[in-house]
Amino acid sequence: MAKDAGTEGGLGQYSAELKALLDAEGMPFCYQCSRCTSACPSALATGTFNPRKIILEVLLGERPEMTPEDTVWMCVNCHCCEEACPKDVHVAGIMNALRNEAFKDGKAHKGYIANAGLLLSSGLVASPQGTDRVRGQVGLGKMHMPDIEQIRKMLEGTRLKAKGGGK
Amino acid sequence: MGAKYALMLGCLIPTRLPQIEAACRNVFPLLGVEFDDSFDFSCCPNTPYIKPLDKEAWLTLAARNLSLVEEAGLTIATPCPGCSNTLLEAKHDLDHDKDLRARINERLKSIDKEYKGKAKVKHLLQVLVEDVGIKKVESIVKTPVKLKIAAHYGCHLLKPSKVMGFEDPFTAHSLEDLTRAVGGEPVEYENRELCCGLVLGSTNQDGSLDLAHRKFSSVMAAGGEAMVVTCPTCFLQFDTGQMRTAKKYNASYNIPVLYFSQLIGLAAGLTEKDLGLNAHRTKTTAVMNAVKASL
Repeated sequence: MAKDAGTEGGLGQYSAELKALLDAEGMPFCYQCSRCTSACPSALATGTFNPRKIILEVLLGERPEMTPEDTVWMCVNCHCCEEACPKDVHVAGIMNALRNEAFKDGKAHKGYIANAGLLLSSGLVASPQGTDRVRGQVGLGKMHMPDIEQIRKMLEGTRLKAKGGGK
Repeated sequence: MGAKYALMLGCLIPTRLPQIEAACRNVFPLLGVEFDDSFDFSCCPNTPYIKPLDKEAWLTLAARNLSLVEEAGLTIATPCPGCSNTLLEAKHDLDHDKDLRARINERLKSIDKEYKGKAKVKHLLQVLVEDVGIKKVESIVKTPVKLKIAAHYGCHLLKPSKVMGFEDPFTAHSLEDLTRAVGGEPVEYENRELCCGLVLGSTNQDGSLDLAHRKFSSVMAAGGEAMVVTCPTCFLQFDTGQMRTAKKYNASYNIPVLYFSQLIGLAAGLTEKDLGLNAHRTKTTAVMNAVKASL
């Protein structure tokens, strides 16, 4: 028997922060029609990522603890699922809430951490190294680099700043 | 006198794909669009990687970028759908949740900024369609690009449609309209709405190439001679990643990939250098031959 979502077990077992995030994304309205998974490019291409199943597991409180290898990291935030969902569930938002929680616990996929490190080092998620040469090839001068001190200052105390790496 | 926009280039375009920047800077003034480069934009920050890690930090950086143009009253125009998506999604959240906005503004206060909710954001294709008008493109065509062109809109330009407020993801036609305006022929192909797959590559490389292969195969089956895109991520996957995909699938696609401003520039008679075609990884010879044939 499925446990009642939102009470004991089910959603009730999650941290208050995660539960609030999941509620805000409309998860309790999911009725498992699977249109999200049918519309999902990552599901199509990998055969292992299944947003419908992840939502069911979370609703039932039967989702194993997140790891950096979890399939949820295959969500690319394309929002195809949300266009398809008849109940306006923010499927990508739920995948993000789960990953925010995993990052808090130090369980993020390394590819994501690498992007965070770039952002905290330069203010961009791309390395500015060697760009002058490439830009010169197409007739462009030096590029603008953002004020990284301002960015670090305003991110003081965020999880990203604490765990995202970078210089 | 043209309309002025605050130009936000994002990360990938100025660092790895400056051909897209060059094409936008050289083409949009021909359509009466001016860019103001004086704003200190950072990474938007990107939705696929940063939002899944820390939504609060993601909102904070987005709110700073939005706050930068509020005083000047300019609309942010960006060639990157990742940027327009992040800024519009963040704006949606901040404009619908007072407590959240207050919390984020506490962070902005440390750098003497405030998010007031006045900024407007548009992707450059949206600027072209809504503010310039595709009709105007017809007036600058000198060398029609007589090719069968497959439109790829990508994900973030249009989705989530309720937040992006541009075209419907399933019935969008601006790229096909643009193709006709420059003298080309739009091709209908299977998998038109399919994601390019680049972001999936950071967790599942096989899946990423699978999506690219599906796209290339569908374009070829429909007789497409080139692809037109609106996004640097899609451009990387289809241009830079084409050889790698062909190798894995033992295929030969040879499909030139153009960012939409490059397509306009070709028709307007700009040179390969003006449009940065020399920096492409997949040869654009077929495109140049088509342009030369209409001289």
